[in-house]
Formats: sequence, C-alpha cells, structure tokens
Amino acid sequence: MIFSSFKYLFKQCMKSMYANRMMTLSSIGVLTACLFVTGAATMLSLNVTKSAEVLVGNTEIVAYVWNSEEEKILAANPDAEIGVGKTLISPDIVQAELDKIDNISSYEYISKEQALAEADAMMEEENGLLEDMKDGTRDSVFPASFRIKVKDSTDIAQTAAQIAAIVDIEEVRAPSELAGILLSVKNTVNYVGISLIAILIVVGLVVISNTIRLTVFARRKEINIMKFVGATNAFIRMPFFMEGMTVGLISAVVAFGFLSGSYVGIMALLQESTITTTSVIMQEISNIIPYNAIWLPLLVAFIASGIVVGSIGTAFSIRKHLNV
Amino acid sequence: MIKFEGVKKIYPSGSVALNNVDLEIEKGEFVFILGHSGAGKSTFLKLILREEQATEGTVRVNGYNLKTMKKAKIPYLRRSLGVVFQDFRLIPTMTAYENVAFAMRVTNIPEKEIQTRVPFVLNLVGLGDKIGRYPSEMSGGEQQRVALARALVHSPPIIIADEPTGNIDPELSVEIMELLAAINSVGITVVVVTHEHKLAERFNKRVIQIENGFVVADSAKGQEIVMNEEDWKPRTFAKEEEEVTV
Repeated sequence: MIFSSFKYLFKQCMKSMYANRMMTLSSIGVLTACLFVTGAATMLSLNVTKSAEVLVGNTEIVAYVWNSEEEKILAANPDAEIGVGKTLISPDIVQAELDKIDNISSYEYISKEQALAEADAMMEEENGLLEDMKDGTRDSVFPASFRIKVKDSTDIAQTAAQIAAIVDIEEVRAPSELAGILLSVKNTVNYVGISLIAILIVVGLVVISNTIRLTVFARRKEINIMKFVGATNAFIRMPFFMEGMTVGLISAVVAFGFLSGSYVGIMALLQESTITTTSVIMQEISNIIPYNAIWLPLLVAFIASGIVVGSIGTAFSIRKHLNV
Repeated sequence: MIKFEGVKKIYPSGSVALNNVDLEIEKGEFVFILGHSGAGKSTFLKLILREEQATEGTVRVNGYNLKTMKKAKIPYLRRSLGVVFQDFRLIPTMTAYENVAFAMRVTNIPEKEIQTRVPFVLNLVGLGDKIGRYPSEMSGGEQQRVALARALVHSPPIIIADEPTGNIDPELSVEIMELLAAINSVGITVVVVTHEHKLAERFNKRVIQIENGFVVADSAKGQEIVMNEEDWKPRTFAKEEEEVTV
C-alpha cells in the first residue's frame, strides 16, 4: 500500500472517530476501565505471588534432634530403665533419612555448639547468662538441629510430617501459618483475577465491536460508493481496523497512566505508614515489586492487549455488518 | 464487452427476476435498456456489477466471466466499469473535486496523478469552474455531471448509467444524454438503463426492452418497442425469431 493511501486511510480513521466522538469517547472510557481493572488484578496477583514466595522461600523447616538417646527413650516410655550418662545422637542417621525425602532441596546441620554460639551472639546484651554453658559446667539447653529447605513450598506440611516421623527428631517447626494463608490468598487472587480478566476481555470486545458497527452504519453510503468504484475489500476494511486499534491504543495508554499513578501512590502511602506498623507488615511492604521493574512490561502488555482487543472486536463487527 | 448467455436469476424468495436472457453489447455501442419498474433492469445491472450472481447461464463483462471469477477480482471488474446512478451517490461532505478524487484514492492511485486527472475530467463534463462546490450547492444536472466525472476518472471502456435523468429537470436531461453521447463518440460503450421510452426514442440508438424478466424487443434485430403489456413475449433466441418471421 502506497504512502498516500495510508495517509488517506489514517485521515479517514481520525475523521470517523471525531464524527462519532461521543461513542468513541465512551468506548475509550469503558475499555480504559477494563484495562485498568485487569491491570490492577494482575499487579495484585503478581505482588501476592511474590510475597508468598518470599515468605515461604525464606522460611525453613527446623527439625530439632533429641539431646541424647536416653531422653529419646524416656520420652517414648517414661518407665524405661536407662543407665547413668548420656549417649549423644549422631546426625548421620537423620541425614540418611532426610536424603530419602524428595521435596527437600537442601539442609544444614547445626550442632549443639553452633546453636549455643548463635544464641550467645543473639543475646549479646545479656552477657554472662550463658557463661556456665559455654565453659561446660552446665549442659547446653540448645539442641542440635537441621535447617531444611524445600523444593515445593505448597507441600511443606506433608514434608514437615515426614521429617517429624524420623526417630531421632524431637520436634519440627514448619513455616508459620501466615505463609499458608498467603499461599491460599495467592491462589484465590489468581483465580479471581483470571476470571475477571476473561470477563473484561469479553466486555472490551463487545464495546469495540459495537462502536465499529455504528461507524459502519454511519459510513454505509461511502462504503457503497467505494464498492462500486472498485475499492478492494482490504481497503474498505482498513479504516475500521485502524479505528478499532486506535481506540484500543488510546485506552491502553490512559489505563497505563491511571494504574501507574495508583501504584506509585499506594506504594508511597504504605512506606509512610511503615513507621507505625509491625515488622511482618514491614517485611511485606519491602516485598512489593518496585515500579521501575514493572512499568515497561506493563506498558507493553497494555498496548498489546489494547490493539489485539481493538482489532478482534473490529473483525467481529466487520464480519457481521460489513458485507463487501 | 457485455454478453448474457441463457441467464436466469431467481432470488432466494423464489421470484424470477430474469429468465433466459441472451444479449450481446459490442464495443463502442450506445444501448438503452428499457423496461417498466420491476421488469428486471436492476437485476440486469446487479449482475453486470457482480453484486448478484446468475442462477443459471453465464455473464461476461470486459473479458471477465462473472460466473467463474474469484471474489478478489471483483474490485478490478468494477474499476473497468463507470457507473452513474439516478440518485447520484455523491458524498455530501465532499466537494466536487473530492468526490471524484475519492474514486481514485480508494483504488490506490498516487496523489500526483489525482491532482492532474480530477480537474481534467471535471472540465470534460463542463464543471471546471465548480470544482470546489459541495453537492448541496449544485443543481441535479450538475451533481449528475460530477457522478459522470467520477465514473470517467478510471477511463473505463464501459459507462453504465442507471436512470441518469430520473432526478433531473427534462431540459437538463438532454444535456446529460448529450454528454453521454459525446462520451460514446470517443469509443466508450454506453449502456443507459431507463424506464422512459420517450428518452430512448428521442436518440436514435439501439434499444433492448426487458419486461417481466424477458428480453421482449431488441432494435438491433429490427424489433420495435412493445408498448402493450399483453404483447410482452420472450424473444430470447435470434435464430428462432428468424424462423418465425420466415
């Protein structure tokens, strides 16, 4: 297609949009709203997913090993007769058992000495409290443990149960309930988001297709003349596609502006409120995806969906109403 | 140029618009297609423009077999036909120049060519001084001339005029018909579809009369226009006609 034709088609498209400006504006409005809600749902879903992943990913399962064989036996049977003295438990058996569990990605053994050192470091201010344990006059109360990371965090409860079943393990601490709640919130947000997007895509298609139908109706005489002077079908259809895509494009840019503004605004509000909030929430806020990391993919996605919805909506309308 | 061979057109409603029509219009001819309303004239036009397809038989126009031609070729067939309608079909928001240029723009013709060709054809139809006027600022006759200029802009070998004088004062009708005759004199085939038998009689040209979907008279075969409805009988095959007269 030569340049002058393109110029002509573009002019026709602009003229037609201006002639039907109320309809054009209202369809841009509806499409902007659709894209905004779709974008907001996507952002929420992305952020909740990321938070859940960070939270679950950071949280290890901690499995505490019995202090000694004697304690383990007594715990199972308080009446059991045991001799004096202590038989320390070797981590090798636990390690062998852990290796058998598929969902474990890695683990680290923390010996009683390391546990004591860590506790000492944490309790710097209460110096002297752990002195007797450190110099060996009193047995350390800090048990040896395994810090375990899992591959699939959704199976964490099952994995924790498997670890708890190991004989030499006294107690297992799995990630907090918050992670589980966040995971289920993530799934719900995703399902709701996907359904919402599907509904809004249909709404967008209907709106565009209706606008184009009106344009076709307004220009029916012109279309008729174009037909009998020998314009090709592609040429007759092109201005309508251009119009549909332009409406999509404008809506995408406007929706992007609104969503960006809202995102940045909400982030600023949250950061202001961190002074008064608890550490868990603070950590959650720090997990929010920064605007710099998302604006470009968001803009590209908006423009692409605006144009795609615009042209598919036009195609529907033309198929039904433009018999060339 | 235009050839109908055993053409029958039945619409989905079951009404038979054309029945066994055989006719041929040669290059450079000036032909009136005469008929009362509902005779099948519009269907005849629609078949030539390939808006409709014949139910039976073959229509050939400008070397295209309209029965076998691909849909994508239809615009090219139409570019080889200049069409003028009773209601002019001008775009009211465009000037005379823009209306004619429109036909060129929508067929991908470069702007430079449009700028030289449009004033030329508007001059040809005697509207050189009204190039910037809108249809609402022109008389019926002038509007029809713009339509004629638009039909001529692609230099088509055939001009088809559907009731071209239907919306024009009688004195201006003559002007339009003379313009069509002038166009014909340079070798362009002109087909005028009309219900006005007086108009057809005034110009001493070939007249093909269609009534009730049949060709009832063709002056090229020495047949006169049949005014009486009771005498409208199909005259489809030239050979049969000859046999009857012998």
